[in-house]
Amino acid sequence: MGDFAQGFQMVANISTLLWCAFGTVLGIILGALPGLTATMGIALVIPISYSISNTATGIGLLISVYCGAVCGASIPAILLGIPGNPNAIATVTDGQLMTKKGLAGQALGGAVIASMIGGLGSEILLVFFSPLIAKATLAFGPAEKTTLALVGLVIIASVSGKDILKGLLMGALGFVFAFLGTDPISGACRMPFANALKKTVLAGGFDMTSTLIGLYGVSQVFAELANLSKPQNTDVATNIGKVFPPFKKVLSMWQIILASLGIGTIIGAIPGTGASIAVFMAHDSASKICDASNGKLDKPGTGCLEGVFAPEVANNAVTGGALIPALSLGIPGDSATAVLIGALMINGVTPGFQLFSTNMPLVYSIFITLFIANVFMGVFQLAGIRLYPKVLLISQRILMPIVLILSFIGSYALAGASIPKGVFNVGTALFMGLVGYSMKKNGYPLAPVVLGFILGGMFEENFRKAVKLGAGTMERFVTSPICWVFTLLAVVIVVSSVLKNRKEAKANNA
Amino acid sequence: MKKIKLFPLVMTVLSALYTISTVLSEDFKYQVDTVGGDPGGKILPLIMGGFLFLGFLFITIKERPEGKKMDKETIVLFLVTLFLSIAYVALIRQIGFVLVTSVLVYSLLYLYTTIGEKRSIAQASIGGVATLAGTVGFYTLMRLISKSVIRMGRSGALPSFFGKSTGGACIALLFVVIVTVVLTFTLVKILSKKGFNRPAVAGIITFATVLFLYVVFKQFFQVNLAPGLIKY
Repeated sequence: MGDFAQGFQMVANISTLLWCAFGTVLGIILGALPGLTATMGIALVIPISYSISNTATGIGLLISVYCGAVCGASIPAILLGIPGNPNAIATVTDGQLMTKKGLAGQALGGAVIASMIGGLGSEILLVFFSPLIAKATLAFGPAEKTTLALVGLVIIASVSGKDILKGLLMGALGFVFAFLGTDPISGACRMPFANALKKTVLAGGFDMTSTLIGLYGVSQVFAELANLSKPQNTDVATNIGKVFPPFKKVLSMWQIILASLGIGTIIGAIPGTGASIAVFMAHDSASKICDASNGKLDKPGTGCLEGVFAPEVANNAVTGGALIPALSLGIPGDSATAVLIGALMINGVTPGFQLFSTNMPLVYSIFITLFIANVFMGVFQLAGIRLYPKVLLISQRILMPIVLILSFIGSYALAGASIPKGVFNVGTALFMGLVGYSMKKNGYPLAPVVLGFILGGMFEENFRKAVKLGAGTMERFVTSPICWVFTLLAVVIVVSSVLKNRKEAKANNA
Repeated sequence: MKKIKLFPLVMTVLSALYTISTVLSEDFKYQVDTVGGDPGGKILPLIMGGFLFLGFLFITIKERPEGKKMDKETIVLFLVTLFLSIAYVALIRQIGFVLVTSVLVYSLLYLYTTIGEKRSIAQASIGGVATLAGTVGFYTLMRLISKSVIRMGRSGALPSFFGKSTGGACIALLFVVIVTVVLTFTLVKILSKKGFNRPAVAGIITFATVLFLYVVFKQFFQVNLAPGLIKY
């Protein structure tokens, strides 16, 4: 109880509430704007969170942006038929049909209520499970931690793109980015051409935040250039009508809500899966529940609240679910939590058992800010339900230069008082932006690079410790049953992913 | 001759160079390691470098370009954005945050908002110069006001809150909001009626963005934004 009280004290101030409110509104706007993602939003506010002296408040800001962006994506999905980001992809059909029926307000209101239920429901599971999982990692030594990092990377690589080889290569590239700079044990410079570079700013390797901002912010600007010539949104349904769906109707959907909550949290907790899978599973499960309801519930796909509720509960349940492995193991559930882990580390917080054993008040403060973020998300989106649709009228042509300059200034700001370091960070963001753009254009996923970069240091340190403990051999890996389980899991994932791709390729050829 | 995809080819070359440079570099074994057994700092970079080289080589051989090319407009947008971004990185230290950010944001806004329209270099240049002059002018005024407020707060002429840098920053933020609203509903409307819609809109957004970012990062978060030519 003492830890909880301390955690509560860390966030029980007006500054935390204001930053969470700001983060939520910013997240809703970012989520609502097609082309801007939750991941990018988190990356862009990292410098601000870093500048806030209270770590818990800084993390609260990041979590608020995350929750707001997931919920905000439903706005364009319902009003325009374009999901703000992949999280809202299954909301499009019923949301659009409801808008056409003149029920846009109910669809938007329903989406907000569903998101709140999903977010808060999954948080209960997060609070319950993450300390238990973290405790289980007590049995992990350096060898187990090494294989755990490898499994996390393999999972992300297998699900974040169509080709697992490309995913694995991107993971390896992330590791290489992490290895550049200083050797964690000997302190030697490991940049290629070290003799020439060791006296320059490059000697320390790439700055993590600038890399994240570049990969997600700057690269998005370059990727969107091809879409700027397309007609921009000039017409959005502004006749919102009644906002709150009938209470009885919401209650009648309890089975759909519970099923979607379970699906969202479980899928979110499986590293690398993400909301885009959860929303379709929830939609599918809602269809089955409706079929079995003897006409009491409307079938998703016909422009009904059931089809909006199921994916919206699920996608926000993913936020809490994805934080379970992220906080307890340091393995992200999706690309947004991958960036979130990076942000936590930049703020001096290393996820995993150590966090739970040595800084429980901070863990509680994270849970509390997640609760605040979910409540604010509902309140602010409902309050601005007639206002946010107007955000959709902001042209990408105006947004993109602002995103670019925000990315630059964000990476610059991390250097604080040092101008040369700030300029180097901007250069890093630009370089990584171009790298990220080339990857996107060629079908290489970004998430494994980020995860490789984040886990690279931990992976190497534990690998070297494990080999050292085995007197220069791989004995520790061979004798540990946990390592065997993780290695086997990685092999199964790779093999099943290859088989699935082959099957899909055969089906396409046929 | 079969065409080769550029990205995996470049990555193959880069990973080969990385692997070679790792092989040639000195080993990074822990020097005071009395027990022994440290595999050294070269092993994992070598494994990853080798994996990257083989993987990208395989993709280079396997994949062929799909023939999807950028249209001319997108190429122009890409090159200008890239050029301006590089210039931004190269010049921010010498010229300073306010000036170089104004140029970058205004140029991109004008370029992007006039896609599919006939662009006038004269109109864009006049708008650019006016935006730069306006931003610097209002920046000077804003600094003057916030510094005066801080001084008055410290001397007791205003409540002590205004004597802190946060108080000055709040006043500066208020100034930016007021000026942006006033200019949007006066100057921009007048200029839009006279056919200067695009530069006027680009100008006001540039002005608001630059000063807003300055207030947030420099005055609230104390980030040392490169002063460059404007040293006050």
